[in-house]
Amino acid sequence: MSLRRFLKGLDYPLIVAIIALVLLGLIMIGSATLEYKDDSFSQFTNLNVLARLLHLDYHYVFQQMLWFFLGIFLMGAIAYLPYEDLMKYTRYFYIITLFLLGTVAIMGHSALGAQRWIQVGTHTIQPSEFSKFLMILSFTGFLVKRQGNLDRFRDLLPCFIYFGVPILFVLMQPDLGTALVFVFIMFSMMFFAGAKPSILLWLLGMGLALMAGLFFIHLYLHGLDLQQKEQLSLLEQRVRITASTPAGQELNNSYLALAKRNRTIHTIHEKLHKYTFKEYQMTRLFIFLNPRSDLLGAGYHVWQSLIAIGSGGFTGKGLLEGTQSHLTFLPVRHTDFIFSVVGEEFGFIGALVILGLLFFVLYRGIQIAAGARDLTGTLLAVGIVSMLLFQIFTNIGMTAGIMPVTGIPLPFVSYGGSSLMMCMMAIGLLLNIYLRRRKILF
Amino acid sequence: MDRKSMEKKMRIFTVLVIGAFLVLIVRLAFLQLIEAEEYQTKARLNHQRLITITAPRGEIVDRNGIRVVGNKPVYTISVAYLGLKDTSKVVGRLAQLLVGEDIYEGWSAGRIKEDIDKKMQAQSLKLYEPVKVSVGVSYEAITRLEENRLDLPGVFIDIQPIRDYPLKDLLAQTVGFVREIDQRQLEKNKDNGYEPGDNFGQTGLESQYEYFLRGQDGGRVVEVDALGRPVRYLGVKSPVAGNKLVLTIDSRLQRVAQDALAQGAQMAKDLGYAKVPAGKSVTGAAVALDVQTGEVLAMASFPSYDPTIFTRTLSAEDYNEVSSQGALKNHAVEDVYIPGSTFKMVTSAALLEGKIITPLTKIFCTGFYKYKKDWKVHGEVDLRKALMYSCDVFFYHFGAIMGPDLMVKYAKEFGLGEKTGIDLPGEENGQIASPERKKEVWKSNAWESQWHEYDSMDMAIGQQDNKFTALQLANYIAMIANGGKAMQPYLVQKIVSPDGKVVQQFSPNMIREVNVSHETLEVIREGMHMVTLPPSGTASGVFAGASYQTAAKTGTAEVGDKAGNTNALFVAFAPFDKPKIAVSVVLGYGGKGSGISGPVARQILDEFFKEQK
Repeated sequence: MSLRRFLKGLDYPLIVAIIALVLLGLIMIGSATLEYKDDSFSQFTNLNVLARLLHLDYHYVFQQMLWFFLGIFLMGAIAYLPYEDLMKYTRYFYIITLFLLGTVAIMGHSALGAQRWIQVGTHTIQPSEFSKFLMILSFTGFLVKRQGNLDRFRDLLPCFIYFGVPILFVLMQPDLGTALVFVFIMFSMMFFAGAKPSILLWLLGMGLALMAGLFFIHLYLHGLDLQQKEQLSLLEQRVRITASTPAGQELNNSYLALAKRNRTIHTIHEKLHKYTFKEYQMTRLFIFLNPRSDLLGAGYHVWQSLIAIGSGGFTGKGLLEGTQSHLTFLPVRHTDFIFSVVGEEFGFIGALVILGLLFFVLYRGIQIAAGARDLTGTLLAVGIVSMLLFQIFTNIGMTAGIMPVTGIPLPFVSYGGSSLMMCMMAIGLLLNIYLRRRKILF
Repeated sequence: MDRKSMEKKMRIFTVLVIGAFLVLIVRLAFLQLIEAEEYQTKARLNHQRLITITAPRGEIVDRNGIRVVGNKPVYTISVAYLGLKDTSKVVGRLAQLLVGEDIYEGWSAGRIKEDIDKKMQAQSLKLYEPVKVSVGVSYEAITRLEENRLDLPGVFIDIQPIRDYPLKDLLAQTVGFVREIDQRQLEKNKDNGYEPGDNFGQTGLESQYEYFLRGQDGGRVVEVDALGRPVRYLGVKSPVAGNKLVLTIDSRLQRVAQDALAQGAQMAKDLGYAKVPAGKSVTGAAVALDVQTGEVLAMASFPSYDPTIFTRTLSAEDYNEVSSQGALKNHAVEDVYIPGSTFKMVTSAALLEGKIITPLTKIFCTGFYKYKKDWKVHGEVDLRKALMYSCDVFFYHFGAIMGPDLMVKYAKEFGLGEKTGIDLPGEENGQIASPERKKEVWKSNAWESQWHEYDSMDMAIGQQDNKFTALQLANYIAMIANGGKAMQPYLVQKIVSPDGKVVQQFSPNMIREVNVSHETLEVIREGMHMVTLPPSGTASGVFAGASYQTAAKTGTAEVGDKAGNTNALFVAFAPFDKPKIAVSVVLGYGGKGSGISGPVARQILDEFFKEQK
């Protein structure tokens, strides 16, 4: 394909939407990272919006811009190579994915309870971000080979194993959020690849039931463990006081029996934490269900985010005037909770603009999927749209208190090189499919 | 590829995307359109703090304008709750930095932390406001805190006035002390705008005039960040100081009274007069009144203490120590003493007014009457001489004839056994002996519940069940001195606002006239004067060399314990011919009226007349 034809055939509305999102994201990052230590900010109220832009904190903005330019380059490169050529290497992509995720699970460094990063030179990268992209590619290859043979559960089993291994690695980090992104991508790609919807739904239901069951078992064990510990300490006091009396002997026996039971329960509880939900995940889920139970502790993030968004009102407080963000009430503002800053400073209007742009991107993605030349193109596009959709919904849902806290960034907007570059690569793939679409449709 | 089914799937997918976005939009609309104001308030409460600027309480000055109670600025530490997730850690660090402070003398970090936790707990409902946890921190500690600012998010440092007592223990029990308002007081004063952490007068004048003394607190609205660090000030309302109390007390006279009283108590102990039983202690009081106006010129209570301790963090042990010595009690009004012979002027009035005797009626004192013995043989005595010698036999004799009723009547006439109505809380009634009282007290005992002749005799010399406050005694002497005017004793002359306006003025107030004839009072005054005259007056030694003429009466009242302890009492007024001042001195377990309490009264009167010149 000649460069001229390539440039002419790009989906410019999509590109414009992406650039707009990233630009808005840059402004929000510049605003979010600006902390007020004195009253210097009160002078901003006299400035117009353009002048205020000059007062942003540009440290993170420049970083993000650098990644954006790198992302444009990657996007272009990925758009340029015919995706059929890429598909030849799916086997290697899969191996690279396993290698990356395995590395993180073993030697990654942790933040906020999860290991997600690995050190590369002076930078840390988040392999699970790139693994989403790579898995879409390799799973497409995997599914296309089984085209038309996905009607029975027996046929689906290899798919689950194929995707299951990386999911398992991600869970080992542990990164429940990314694992759920994977699950969603997997199901929607299988749906489009021709898997029987009833089987998929049935499995999805099973999975949800399993999760809920696990949650309640955790809750039960946790409560029992605590209760027994409490009783033990009460008994211990009495045993100490009555040590030399016959009653003391009896107490001591029941103490020892309870201690034994508690050891068993505690071991099971620990094991369950080790292999299923971690303690912080349980806390997040619990807080999600009872947001007001611990506003100063585990529920603090979401509570502050709700205040930020809610207090923004219809038009927002204005750039640099968000008290929740600039007075640092809002945690991880420039990354996971960037949307809260949008909601606070630009209000419902600003939130709608971001949502509108994101919706447009997804809508174009679906159109591209529908117009793809072959199943490969469709599945690739569907995988990308699914990934973006799930991330958008869980991220914004989290800031608005209708989804539990998972460390999933908002595509194109949140600060973070791995996420931004991966999203740009994904868009590159969409452009690629668009360039090579069926001619009749558009 | 089945195009049709693919298109259907695409439609499903599109609907899924639209659905997801709709959910988000509806949720955001709910937050930002419907609940927006709710969250705006929350955001404001989040980042704006109201920091109270405590108003200084009104000062208390004596009649000459000398400051008895003032204010001084000290550093306070407050801790904010919200946005501070690791409160326990921060408080722990704060406690560490406060170890060794004067206000936490000898406290470990753990104990300080406990104290702070308790205060924060008490105010846990006011999440958004900082809780004042420590008052009176040194400059050094503040510097330490500033150096460790990063470890102490949510910790505020402020300046606040606290009570200052430049004259230390002077008038301590009468002015009373101030503490943080407690739960019960808060409940009672809800409508008066009190809040947890506010100061509240607990005893004495501080309590009596609380509403005048308290100022109006100001406030400062501060914008803070999530760590509670102030970012900018949004507005200030200045506090208004409380009103000043101008007392009738003369602080110099008060000083002399307190010191003399302490000296007297010491002497009683040194001379072995006071054989104090376990659990009791020597206590006492001295009151000086202006006989014409009822103004209280001095009101001393022993033992005394420096109320400064209440401006610090006070441990229960420290409090108990001060309290168990009786230093917190105002023994001039909150404690009653057996009057002993100082009651004999009541008996005299009853005898004369009841026409039992005339001023010239004489008996021959042989040192005993019936089954009761006195110390000395006085020979021929009339009423005046009986007072001069403090001759018990004379009063036994006529007391037995007269019976209790007239004595009860005239004790009441002189305001004994009932509250004087002075502007202090907690005043005691005192009690007058009477057949009814005896019956009440000894209900189950057939013999003891009866009033016998010897009871009248005991009552006549101020024993039996008579118990009065030092203030009542001084007031009663004032009535004798001023010719039978019952003046209202009072401590506060006027209340002055911070801008110098007189809010309230108190003037002398005659409550009633004492129903005793001038002649009778004259005789009693003459008898009391003779007490102070050599060679035979019981108080002649006390006033040897005095530049003024006085009238007085000593009293050595039997406490009635096994050790044979006696209260030392002394009442006086002066000058004899034109009375100005009445004084009462009481020392429980003091031993001797003339020897111990007399010199106290003498010093007070000396000081009074020294100032008069």
